[in-house]
Amino acid sequence: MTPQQKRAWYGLAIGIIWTLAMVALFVIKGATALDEDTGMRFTAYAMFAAGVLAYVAMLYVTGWRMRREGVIMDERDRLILRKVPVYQMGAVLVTLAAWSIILTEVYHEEGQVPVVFPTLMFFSAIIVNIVFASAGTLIAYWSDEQHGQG
Amino acid sequence: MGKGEVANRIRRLRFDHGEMTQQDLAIKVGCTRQTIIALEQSKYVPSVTLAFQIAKAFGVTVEDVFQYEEK
Repeated sequence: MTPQQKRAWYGLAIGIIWTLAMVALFVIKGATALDEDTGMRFTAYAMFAAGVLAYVAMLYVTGWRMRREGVIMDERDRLILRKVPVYQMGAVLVTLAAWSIILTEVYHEEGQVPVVFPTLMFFSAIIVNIVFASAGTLIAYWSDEQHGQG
Repeated sequence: MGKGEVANRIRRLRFDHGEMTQQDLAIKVGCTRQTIIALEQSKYVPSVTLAFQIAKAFGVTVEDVFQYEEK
């Protein structure tokens, strides 16, 4: 396993825990509580920020540790990692499309959506982007190991 | 010109150089061990720079390490 794959596994673990924690908060309190309950709103913002910080801290710590052990990225890694933004962008676009379709269908009669949803769309887009930075890395390495580069 | 393949003798050369490990070669040429594994399995074709660095590590020419084989 390359250093970049190890880092991607750590990132994926953080992303999954973060996603589950955010989903649990909204399931327990209800999505509309973000509008009505100030405490819930600050908890959600704090959890969101904590997830971003945990991910960035993981990148710094693993980068620092791996650099001490030797080369952490070479020309092959760079070629493989060039595919990752495709997975990230695809996942984010699918997420935004799902939000648009679902909100349009559910709130079509009302002609407007509750103010909480733009925040949730933002949270989900960032979370999906970060999770797929890791998942995309693992997929790209897996694909390379299966098919090679010629 | 038909599609070709770049073969290499890295594994053979490692053994001829005192059973040099993949990690030792990776450190010498500045890449990861996984790239050496991919090269030996012909799953990766290196850049010209890396090809020269590998040849230099073994003290041979690039042609002694890499061969172009037409399919």
